[in-house]
Amino acid sequence: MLPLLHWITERHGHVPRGMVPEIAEALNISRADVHGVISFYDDYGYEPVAAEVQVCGAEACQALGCGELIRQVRRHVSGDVHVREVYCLGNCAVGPNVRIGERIMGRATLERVAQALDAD
Amino acid sequence: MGACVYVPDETTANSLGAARVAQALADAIASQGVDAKVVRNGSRGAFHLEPLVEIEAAGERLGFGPVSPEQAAALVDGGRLADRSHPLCLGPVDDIPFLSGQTRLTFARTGLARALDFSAYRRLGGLQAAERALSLAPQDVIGELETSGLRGRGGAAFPAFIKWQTVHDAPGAEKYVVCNADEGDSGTFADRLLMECDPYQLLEAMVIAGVTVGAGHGVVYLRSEYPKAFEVLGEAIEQALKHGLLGSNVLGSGRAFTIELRLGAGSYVCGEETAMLESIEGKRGMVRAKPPLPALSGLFGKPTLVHNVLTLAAVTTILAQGGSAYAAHGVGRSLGTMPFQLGGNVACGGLVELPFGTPLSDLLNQFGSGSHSGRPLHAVQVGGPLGAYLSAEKWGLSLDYESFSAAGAMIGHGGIVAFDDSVDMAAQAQFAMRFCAEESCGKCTPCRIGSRRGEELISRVRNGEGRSGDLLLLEELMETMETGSLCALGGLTPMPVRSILESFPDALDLSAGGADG
Ligand SMILES: Cc1cc2nc3c(=O)[nH]c(=O)nc-3n(C[C@H](O)[C@H](O)[C@H](O)COP(=O)(O)O)c2cc1C
Ligand code: SF4
Repeated sequence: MLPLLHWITERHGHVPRGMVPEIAEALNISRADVHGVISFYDDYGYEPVAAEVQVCGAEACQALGCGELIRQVRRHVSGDVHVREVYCLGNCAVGPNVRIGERIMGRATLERVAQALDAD
Repeated sequence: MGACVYVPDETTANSLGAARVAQALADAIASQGVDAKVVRNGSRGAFHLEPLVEIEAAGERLGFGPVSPEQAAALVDGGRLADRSHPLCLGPVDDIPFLSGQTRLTFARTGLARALDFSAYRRLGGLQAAERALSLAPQDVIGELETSGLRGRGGAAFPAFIKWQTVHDAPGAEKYVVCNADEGDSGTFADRLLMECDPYQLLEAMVIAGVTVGAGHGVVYLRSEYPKAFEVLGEAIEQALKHGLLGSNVLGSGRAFTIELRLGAGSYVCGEETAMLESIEGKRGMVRAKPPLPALSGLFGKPTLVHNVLTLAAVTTILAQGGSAYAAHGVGRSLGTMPFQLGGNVACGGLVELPFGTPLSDLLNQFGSGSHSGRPLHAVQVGGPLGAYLSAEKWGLSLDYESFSAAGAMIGHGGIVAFDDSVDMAAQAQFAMRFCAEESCGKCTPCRIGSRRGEELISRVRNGEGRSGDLLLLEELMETMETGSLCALGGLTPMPVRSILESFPDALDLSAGGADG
C-alpha cells in the first residue's frame, strides 16, 4: 500500500479523499484500513499542498538555531507555501537544513531560503 | 592520460553547492581546452571540507576545499589545473588529518570513485567477501561473524551471529533479509553516506546474508527523507542485476537472491524493527509484541533477518579480512570499528570511523575541533533522541557499549550531536518528551500519554509555574514509561531527561514548589 500512496501523492500532491474507496477495493482491504494508514504517516495527507518548505527541527539543527529559522521562514513565506517542521533530513553536520522539493540546503539562512523560493 | 577532477555527488556536498561546482569546473575545463575530465565521486564524509574537489594528476590526488561555486572556476586557470600552491589546497587527500586519523574499514572505499561504477567497486576490493562466503559452508560464515564479535549497529547492539544462526536454523523454505535503512536519529547519516557512496557494499552484504541464512529475497526499507539514496540504490540494484551480483545465479553460484527497495513515509517509530515489518506489509507502523522474534516470524510471518545498514556492511569487511582481524579492533565486548557521526554545533563535522574504546573527547577535539559557533561546547547528546546528554565531566568516557551503559548513556547508532553554551537544557528535556509523544505508535499508554504529561510538566516548570511534588511526579512518570513500554521509544525517552536532571541540575529546577509541599 505504501508504494501506491507514494505514487498517488507524487502525482496529486496529496491523496484525494475520493480515491479511498478505489484504493481499498484495489488492495482488497477496508476503507478504514486505508484511512488508518494515510493518517498514520506524515508523508500522506488529504489536503492539497501547493508548495512546501521543510525545515529540520531535530536536535542537530536545534544546536544551530533552527527554532529561529523556522519562525523567520514562517513569517516570510506567502500563504500558499506550507512550512513544515520535519524531523531530520540526515544532513546533520552542516545544519540548519531546509528541503524544498528534492533539493536539500545545508547551512540554511532565511536569505538563501528566500532566494531558492524566488527561483522556483 | 588526462587529469581527473572529482566533485562529490552526495547529499551534504550537494546541499553546499557541489553540483554547481562540478558544472563550473566542467565549463572551465572545456573553455580552456584542459586535458581533464570531471568525475562525480562519492563523499569522503569530511563534511566541513565540502564541496571537496580532488584533482588527480601526475600520480597524486590533491584535495581543495571547501570550494564554493564562485571559487570553482579559478581551480582551472591559465589553461592548467590548480596545484599545491593554490590557497584552497589541503595537500594529498589521504593525508588530511580528519581522514588519516580514522580507522576506515566499512568506509574505506567511500569517495574514491563514482558510487555506481561497478568495475571500480571490484577493483577497490568489492565482491571478495561474497566470493569467499559462497565458497564456505553457511555455518562457517556464521562462525566468522561470531569470531568478529559484531553487534547490531542499529541501536540495540545485539550479537549479530545469534540472529543469523536463528534464521538459518528456522524451518521453512521462504525467508527474508530486511535491511533497516530508516536512519531516524537526528545526528546520524552513516547509513545514508554508505548507500549514496558505496551502495554495492550493502547489496553484497545482503547477498551474503541471504545465501547464508537461506533467504532468496531481500528488502531495503529506506526513509523517504533520503531522495538521493533512493535514486542511487535503485540504480545500484539494476546494475547489480546486470553484473550478476543479484538475480537467479548470484556470482555464478547457482544461488538466487533479489532485492526490493521500499520507501518509508515519515515515521520515526517505523525504524523499530517490528513496526518496520508492519510498514513493509502496508500497514500502520505499530510495534508488534515480542515474541515471536522476527528471526522466527518476521515479514509476512516468515523467518526474517533484520539488520541495520552498518551491521550488514561490516559483514563484508569481516568476510574479506576474517573475523579475527575485525575483532582485533575495539575493547572488551565492543569489537571492531564504529562509524561515528559528528554533527550539530561542531566546527568539523562528518563521518568518523574509529575503533570502539576511543575517548569521546578525542572525537570532539581532534576531529570536531570545537564548536561551529566559536562558543564553548556545553552538552553532547550521543545515540540519537533517546540518548543521554553528557556534560563536560563525562567527555572522557570511552566510546564503547559497556562504558556508555554503565554511565546511563548509550552509543545507539553512533550519532554525536554537540551544543554550545547557548543551549537551553530544559528545552531539550521538554523536546525529548514532545518527540516521544509525537512519534509514539500509540500502543502503550505510558508512552503515548505519559510523554504528553511529561512535556506539560516540564513546560510548566520552565514557565515558572512549577508545583510541589513535580519532581516526584516526573520520576513516577518516567518509571512508568521505562517499565510499561513495549519498545525503546517509550522505554528510553526518560534517558535524555534523566541525564539532564543529573548532569545539568541548574537547568530545570523541579524543587521550586517542593519546599512547602
Ligand atoms: C523507536 C525505535 C527506532 C529505531 N530506529 C532504527 C533505525 O532507524 N534504524 C535501525 O537500524 N534501527 C532502528 N531501531 C532498532 C531496530 O529496532 C532493530 O534493533 C535494528 O534494526 C536491528 O538491527 P541491528 O541488529 O543490525 O542493529 C529502532 C528502534 C526503536 C525502538
Ligand atoms: S513504547 Fe511507544 S512506540 Fe513503542 S510500542 Fe509502546 S506506544 Fe508504540
